Amino acid sequence: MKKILIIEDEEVLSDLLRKKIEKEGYEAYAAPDGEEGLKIMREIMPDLILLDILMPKKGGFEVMEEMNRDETIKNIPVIIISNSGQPVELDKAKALGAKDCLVKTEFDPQEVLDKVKEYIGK
Amino acid sequence: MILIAAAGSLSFCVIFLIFYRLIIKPVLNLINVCREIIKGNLNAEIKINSRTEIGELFSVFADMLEELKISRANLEEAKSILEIKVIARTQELSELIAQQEKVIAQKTKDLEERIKDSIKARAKTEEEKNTTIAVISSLVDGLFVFDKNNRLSFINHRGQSFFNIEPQEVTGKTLSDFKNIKQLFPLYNFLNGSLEPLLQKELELKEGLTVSVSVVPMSKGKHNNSSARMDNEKTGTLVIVRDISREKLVEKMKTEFVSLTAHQLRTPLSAIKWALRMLLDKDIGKINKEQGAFLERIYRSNERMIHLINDLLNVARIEEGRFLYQFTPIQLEELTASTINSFNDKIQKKKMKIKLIVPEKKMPAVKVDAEKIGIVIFNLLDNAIDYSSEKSKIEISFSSNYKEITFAIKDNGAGIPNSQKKRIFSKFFRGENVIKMETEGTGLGMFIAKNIIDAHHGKIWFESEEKKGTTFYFTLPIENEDRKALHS
Repeated sequence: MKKILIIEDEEVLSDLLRKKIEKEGYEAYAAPDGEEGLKIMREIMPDLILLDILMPKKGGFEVMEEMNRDETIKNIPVIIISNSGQPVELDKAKALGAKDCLVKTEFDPQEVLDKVKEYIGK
Repeated sequence: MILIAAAGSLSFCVIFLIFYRLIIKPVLNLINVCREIIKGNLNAEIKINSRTEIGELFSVFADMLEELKISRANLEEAKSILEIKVIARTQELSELIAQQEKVIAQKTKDLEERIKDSIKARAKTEEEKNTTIAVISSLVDGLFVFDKNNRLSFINHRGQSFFNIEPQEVTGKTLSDFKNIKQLFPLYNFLNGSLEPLLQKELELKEGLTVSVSVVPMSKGKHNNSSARMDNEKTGTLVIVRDISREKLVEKMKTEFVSLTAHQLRTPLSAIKWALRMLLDKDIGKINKEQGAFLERIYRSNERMIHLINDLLNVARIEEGRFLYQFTPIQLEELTASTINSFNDKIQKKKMKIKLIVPEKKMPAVKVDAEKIGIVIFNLLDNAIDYSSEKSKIEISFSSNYKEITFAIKDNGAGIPNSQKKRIFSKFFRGENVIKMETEGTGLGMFIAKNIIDAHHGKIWFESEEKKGTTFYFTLPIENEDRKALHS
């Protein structure tokens, strides 16, 4: 079973996504901030990460920067789920190696799931 | 002998007496008369008692004296006439002099009055001038007054403090001279070295000090008649510098507040959207039809809220001046087609038809911020659909020439009332006639559209008739690299 890690501080969103993903047959993990996210990441070595940008302790960009410095987790695909969707932000995420950027208000869980499937399959 | 002697002496006496009477007495009389005449007495009497030659002489003398008397009298008369004349003339003259003196006195008085008035007026003018200078000096706006030869004639305190200069450093200088004055170079640079009229253009002088600069020509004559104004003689130019740092700060805070609030609102709105979507998709469990219908309505309300928040964020970004991002070459017709697709559900629901007329010849690409131009097309389409009745038609067409592409979207909808046409592009504006029929609009769409098109150096306008429909147009300049190269 493929493992997906959701790093998202908004509990409702995290729970909803988790539910959607588990329903689709993935193994879902959740972390409420970047620090916790990196910790779990190194433990479980997920197949894909859904990453928020604005978070307490460590933000999404910092998580990606740290991943880029760590060979063991460097290649895990990351999909950004961001709140603002400002071009500057999206471009920065892409430059740091994110596969895709989804703006929360424009996408719904089904579409997020579709993106997940697109990148790692079932 | 004695007798002879006596006879002799008697005859001598007689002879003498005769001689005396005939000659000596009249001569003596003449001498006396002459003496009298010498004294000025012409009335001395000449006694003529002889018919001798002497008598004749005396008679002539008397005649002469008489003549003299007559001529003397004539002279006296002439003299007295002359004297009368002189007196009369003198009288006349003195009257004239008196009159003149009166006139002069009056004139002197008048003149004195005038001088007094003039002194008063001058004092008043001076006072007014001082008041004006005091007013100008204590104005919170900086003021540069240039004379008709474009030389600086006055600078007030505020103007001095804005640029940290002393009046003696700059008075009499022209704007071009400002180029060489370090503190004034930013102003010179900002005005491009010209005193052409300008209205409230912003200039950041230093960190935390932003001013708005206006250049106003001054002219003599009435200001209420605009046509006559052209003929008015230019007397100088006024450069007004106003500190707008505080306004800028407040504006910035307001924009940041809106931006922050909108961001904060997006998270819960996302949560609602996701939860509703999953409920509707039956991810959480089964729901009945009625529940589904309600959930669908809540979902749509939430979508509207998201739309409003996005509009508010866009407005905030426009006002923060960080709205446009990346310019990439795109085909406008393709962007339009994909935007139309996002309205498919809505179009089907209202049974409307959208006709996209693309020219046969491929249109040139335009270099734009594609996301933002997408918003413009989205907003125009959204309005056209919302404000049209069911089953009506919307037509989108393009035209282009060597410098720009024109986009046109025509609907047969509600139209814009004449009285409101001016306000279409203002913030939070909504047509009176459409508020009743469609409650969804935010009143921000056209404001955002205009700002986006303006930022692309394009134009946006419309033609509309109430109850008949509206056509909106916008143009986008074609980025022509070759032409650009020629210019640079």
